[in-house]
Parts: sequence; structure tokens; C-alpha cells
Amino acid sequence: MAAKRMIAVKEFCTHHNLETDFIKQLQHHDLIEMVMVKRTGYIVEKNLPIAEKAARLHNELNVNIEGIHAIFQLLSLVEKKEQEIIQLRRELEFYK
Amino acid sequence: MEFIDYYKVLGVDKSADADTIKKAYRKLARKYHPDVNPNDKDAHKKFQQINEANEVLSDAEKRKKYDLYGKDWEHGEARQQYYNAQRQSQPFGNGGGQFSYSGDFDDSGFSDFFSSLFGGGAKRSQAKFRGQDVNATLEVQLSNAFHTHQQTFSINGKNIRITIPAGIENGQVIKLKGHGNPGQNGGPNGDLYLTFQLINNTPFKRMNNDLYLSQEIDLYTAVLGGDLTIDTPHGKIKLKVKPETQNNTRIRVKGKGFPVYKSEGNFGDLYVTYTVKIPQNLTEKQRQLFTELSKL
Repeated sequence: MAAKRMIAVKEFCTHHNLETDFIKQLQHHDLIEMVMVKRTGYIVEKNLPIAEKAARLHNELNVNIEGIHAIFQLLSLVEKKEQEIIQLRRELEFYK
Repeated sequence: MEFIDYYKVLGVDKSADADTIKKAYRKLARKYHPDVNPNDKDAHKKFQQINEANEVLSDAEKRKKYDLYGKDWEHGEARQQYYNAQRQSQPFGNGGGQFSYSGDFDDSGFSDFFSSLFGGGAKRSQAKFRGQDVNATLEVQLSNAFHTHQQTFSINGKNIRITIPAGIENGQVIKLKGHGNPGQNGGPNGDLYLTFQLINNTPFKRMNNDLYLSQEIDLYTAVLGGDLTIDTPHGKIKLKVKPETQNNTRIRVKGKGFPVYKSEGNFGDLYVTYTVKIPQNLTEKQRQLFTELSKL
């Protein structure tokens, strides 16, 4: 059951034309979670969008792991600020 | 259909070599890549333009064709000449049929100009591409958001019926997987990001899960106290107004506010602010009694 919710690192890397080390680096930077089952590395399904986004940034824009890490951090900051703006707009609407 | 100056799009000179074009493309692609500009439609469009310009200028054969016919596209003779040549050879062939003149980008990410010049089939490769994510706004009446309900809307010519849980917030975004633009070459569809816009036609104001109501009471009820019945989304509720209630007094009615999102049976609170209405057009008797009161 659990295996259905994971994708093998090797399979992912073949599909995206990446070295398996790329995924290890993503894990090293706490960007994704990787689990080992019988000596085979798997990416947890919920981390797949992050891994795919990282793969695109790497393949299409030549961004290295450090750059990807920085992009993810800044995007998370942007998202947080956007949420703040939404909340402030709601409050503004309330006092109108 | 407008002529697109691909050199201008990439910001390079017409005599730029392959390396300069590659560098210019990389620089702009980093700036406008959809993954670094989520929810920015302008950036997505710009990225499509950059990709298209790179697709043409980085390919020697396409660049040659573009240089030859592209700039004179609006001149009938060159255009006809190219159409004729295309009919005979069908180098990228789209069946030689329809040409659209909207000048916009279609779902494939290529402009009409590109499709006309290189054919609809001239895609980058046969690799599978995931479809673009789509952002849309759905208006929901505040009174409807009080209950879990179903709503149907149309996007890209398709009707989609969704269940909206009670307590949805204004500006809240939900993702509908696979309801974005179609993928290319068998790639998966993009996702649909739906932003809810709540329309409030009720006397209530909402802040998170709490509701606020401004309720007028007459002077006599404010001074002497009394019972009051108000309409709420929970139905009619009875309130006891305490004697000597001051103007702008706010009371809290626990659990009579808005439903908490995805937390069945939990509600915010209702805050009622009393606005004391001073009587107008007093009768002689009333004026006399108020005067007497003022002298006590």
C-alpha cells in the first residue's frame, strides 16, 4: 500500500534526465523527503510536485541546488506575504 | 495577426550569433519562468513569447525562414509566395488550412504568427508536456457560503460541478487537479486554481469566522431594557437588552457566527452592536415628559 504512494528515485531521475545525486541533494537541503525500502530510494508522493519543480528549474534554467533552495525559500516568503495581503484586504473591507 | 519581432523579444541584434541568443534566452527564461512566477499571467505569457523566439532563432533552418519571410509577413506578395511554397513542400504542415488572426497564444504555447509561419505541427519535440495551470475566480454569495453546497461553472467550454464546503473564505484558493489546460503529446493536464470571491448582500459583516451586525434599538428599550428578535443565518434568535444599555454597546452571541471551514458543527460568534435611535418628531406630550425628566 505504502509503495503505491512513492516513486523510485531512479525512475524519477531517468524520466527527468537527472543524476540520482540531484535528489539526494534536494533531501540534504530539506526540500524533499526520501525513504529507503530494501536499499532502494523513494520519493514520497506529497513531495513529487516539489521534486518536479526542482527538476524543471535545474533542466530548463540551469539552476543549481543552492539556487533552487534560495528560490524555494523566496517563493515561500512571497506566498506568506500574499496571504498577509489577503488577510489585510479582508480587514480593510470590514472597516469600509 | 501581428508580426512578432523575435529578435526584439530576446533583446538581441539581428546579427547575434547562436551563443548570444542562447545567453539572452537563458537570462529571460530565468526571469519569467512560470515556476518562479506562480499566478503571474503576464510572466507566463512573456515566457511563452521567449520560448517561441528561442525556438525559432536557435534553429538555423527556422531562423533562415523567419529572416526571409517573417519581417515581410504583412506584404501580400511574400506571404502568398510562402503559402504556395508551403503547399508544395509542407515542411512542417498543418494541413495548409486555417489561419487565425487574433495574434494571441493558443493552448500549445505558440502564437498564431508562429503557427502560420511554421505550421501548427511544428512543436518543439514529441516530448510530453504538462498543460498550463489555469487561474480562475468564482463568485459565491456569502449566504451560500454558510452551507456546504454545490456550484456549477464553466471553464474552457467545460462544465465543472464542485462541492464548496461551508465556511469558505474570501480569496481562498482551491486546486482542482487536472482541470487546467490540456497537456501536449499525451502529457497530463494542468491544474485549475480557483479563487473564491465572496459577495456579501447581507446586513452582516464577516471577519474570519465571526459575524458582526449593527442593530438599531429604540431609546425606550435602551433605557428600560427589553426583548429583541433578530434574523441570523441560524434563524431568528431572541436577545435580551439590558436596562440602561449605552449606544454602541457590543454583545457576543456565542456559536451563532459563520461555520468554521471543514470543521462540522463548529461556528464562530455573532457580535451585535446596538445603535440607539433617538426619537424624532416628538409630540407635545413627549416633549413635556422629556423636559420633566431633564429637570429631575
